[in-house]
Amino acid sequence: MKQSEREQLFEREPERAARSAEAVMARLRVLGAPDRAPAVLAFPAFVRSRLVRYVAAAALVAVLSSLATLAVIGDRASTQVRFVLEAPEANEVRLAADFNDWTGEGYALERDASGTWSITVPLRKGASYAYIFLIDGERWMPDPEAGQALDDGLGGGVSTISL
Amino acid sequence: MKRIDWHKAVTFCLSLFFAAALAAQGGSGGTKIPTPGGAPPGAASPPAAPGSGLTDRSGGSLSGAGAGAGADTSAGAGADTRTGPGSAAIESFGRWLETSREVSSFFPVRYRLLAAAAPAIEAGAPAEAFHIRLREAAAKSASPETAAEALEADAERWTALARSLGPDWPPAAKSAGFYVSAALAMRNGIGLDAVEAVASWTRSAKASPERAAAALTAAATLRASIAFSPAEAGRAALAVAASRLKVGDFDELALLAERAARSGVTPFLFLAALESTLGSGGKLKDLERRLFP
Repeated sequence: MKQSEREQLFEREPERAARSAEAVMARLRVLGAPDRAPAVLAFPAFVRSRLVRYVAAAALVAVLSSLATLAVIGDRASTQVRFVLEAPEANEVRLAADFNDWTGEGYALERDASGTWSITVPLRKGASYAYIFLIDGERWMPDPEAGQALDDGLGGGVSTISL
Repeated sequence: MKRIDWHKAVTFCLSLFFAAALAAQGGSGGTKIPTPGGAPPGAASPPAAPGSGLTDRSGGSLSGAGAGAGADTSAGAGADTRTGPGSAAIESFGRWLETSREVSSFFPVRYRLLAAAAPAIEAGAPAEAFHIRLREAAAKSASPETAAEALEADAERWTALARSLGPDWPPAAKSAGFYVSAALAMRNGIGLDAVEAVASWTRSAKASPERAAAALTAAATLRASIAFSPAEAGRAALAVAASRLKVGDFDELALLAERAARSGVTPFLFLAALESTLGSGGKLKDLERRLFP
């Protein structure tokens, strides 16, 4: 590039340009703009140090392994229990139990073609539960397949299951 | 930037504070302790309530220990105005009986139910246990009379149990479940002393109240399976609770007892094998081998 071309590109005089830049920076300072680099850039050695990276990686591994452990424990702490009743003549069967406040709401059993009603319920291990089947909203009975029903004090029996 | 109007902000906060205080004082989101006049025709009038601390708006008492449905109100008994945690729980239970749709079929005997529950709750039994039992009764469409009789019987058991266990155990979150299971076991032939023994072991071993409850239920099932006497069932409950068996094995144990009974094993022999095997850390298979070599 020739000298004349260079002069065309930078028409302004260097001294004038410097004054202009000073004025712009002064205005920026007045407006509160940072005149320094951000803090992160101020500590590049700290951020880039191996120790910090190792600690960060270890923390990540610890968090992930804790989450995995909790998931495994949670899975082992509960189990799926299938409640079954043979009642071909019934129109509706519900499971009422101490784990659902004896309401049966949301615990309707599903009927298959042979008239067998069933529902699978997740229950926590380490406890026993009491339950009955509500049939057509008016009759109820303990589980005939669950062995000895216990006296419920209400004129009937209640089935129990231990998990 | 918009400036905060501190005057308005402080006024708003004070208004919120007073509204919350008024709501708390008014109590229970508008549920009322009913007056006798509000009861339906034929409903029992509130009997006397020595010890419950519950009073209705006419100054009479809402409950009375030992007074049944239809008992007359005794004005003199309303003088006791204790206000402790038990009284608050009784009052809350009374409100639930009055207002809950879940147990509306027991409205005619609500005072009798409250009278039965009051001494037990005062003694430290969890009010939630009464809720659970009444929900069970409602699910089974029990008549008001049947529900009242069942609850009175349970209340007696829970009163004795609460006096024996004290307030510290089981922890509040698991207390109702334990009490309900204990009542089920006691109704089916497990004595109070056996429940106390299991509870005592559970406390000292720092085991879960749910395991204790399951062991009591298992012992009641064993009693039905092999005709244990109450004393034998109590010993079985402790042996099962303190064993290395998982709770999930307890039902298998009952089936084993049934099989043993069918095979002619006497309750005495079964209990001896159970205590010996489980007491030495054995498992169900060890017990089975011992019973059926």
